[in-house]
Amino acid sequence: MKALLICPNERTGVAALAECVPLANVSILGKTLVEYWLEHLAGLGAQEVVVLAADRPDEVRAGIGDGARWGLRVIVKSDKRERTLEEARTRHQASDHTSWLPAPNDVTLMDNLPGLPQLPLFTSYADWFAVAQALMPHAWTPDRIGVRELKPGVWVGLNAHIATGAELIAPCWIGERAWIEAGATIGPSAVLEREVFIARGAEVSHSIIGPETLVGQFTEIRNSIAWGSTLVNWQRDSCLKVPDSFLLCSREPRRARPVPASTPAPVQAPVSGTASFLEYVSQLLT
Amino acid sequence: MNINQQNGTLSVTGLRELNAANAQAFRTALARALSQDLKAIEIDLSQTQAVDGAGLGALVALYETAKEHRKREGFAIRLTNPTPTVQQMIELARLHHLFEITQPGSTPDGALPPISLT
Repeated sequence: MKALLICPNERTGVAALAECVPLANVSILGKTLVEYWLEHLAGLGAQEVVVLAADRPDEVRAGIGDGARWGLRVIVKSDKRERTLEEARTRHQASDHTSWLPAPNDVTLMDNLPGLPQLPLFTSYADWFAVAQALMPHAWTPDRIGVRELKPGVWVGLNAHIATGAELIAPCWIGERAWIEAGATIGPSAVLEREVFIARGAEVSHSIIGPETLVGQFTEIRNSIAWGSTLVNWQRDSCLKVPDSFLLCSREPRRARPVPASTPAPVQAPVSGTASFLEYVSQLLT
Repeated sequence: MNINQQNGTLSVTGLRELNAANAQAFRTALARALSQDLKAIEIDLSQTQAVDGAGLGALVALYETAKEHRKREGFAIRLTNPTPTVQQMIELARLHHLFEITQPGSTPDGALPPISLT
């Protein structure tokens, strides 16, 4: 049986984060949105899934491969724009009379996690944060190799490093290969995705830190979503590109949403300032 | 940037940016303007569109320079009306624990109400 997945393209409620990553590739507690859906469709008996991607289809394709991980055949098709459910059915099912999953599972717009239609992901940053918090106690499933519950409400992924002297306050989720230095405080209500680096003395609470993000020494991230150098306060809905890499940055150069050829390339501001005042502030506060 | 002193309050207004381009000038100007009879310092950030690490460092330097003033009862250093992004930078560097931040319409921080999956 076959199924269609439609990747969300632009969502004004989370525009700044959609600049960082195609929304289908957004990581939520260690799995991307499209991975959750492929897993779900495989469980429903699908054997082939067509993924329609208007935004950075190459990145979506690179993230999921050929689908063999789920026992599926997955084809990612580039589309000019996001299709409605009916458009997708008309374009892809009308000419293909092979067996499809029964509606509504034959075509899905990935605006929420499977089984959670009441919790939209991309209407606002606050909604995104709320979904991650709601999912946290249920995300430790048997297929999560290497994840362990270090103490009640504290889940730690494979090969995560937590230095002696770091404090973990439940509930919190530490993604695989995350690195937490001494003196850092994580939680409550914190999610660190894979390969996050939390430097000495930093504090993260009521927040999500996106994959491969470096949080600088003695900084404080609260009520926020940090994704590379993008920092969004989900409570106030304000968004900032942090100009200094010693405060917040991506560990890897990230591929941005393609810009039209006529748009001049942005000038990269030089790193300015030093981190020494942060240590001074930390000493004042202790 | 304008610096005025009135009724014991040193007011800084018209600050369009506080970053590597003007952080040193800001530090120097404020250090010169600190007089013994000051009761408060107010830095109006309502027009400030950009702050970077150098700018945050300049604020911390002001805090340190005014340490004798801070020993006096009632003395305060206030950052008033920061734009949302400037407030994010201030909070990222934890300066909101050092300075009084006045923000019209601000609400206390808090977590979202829990959502049940069942």
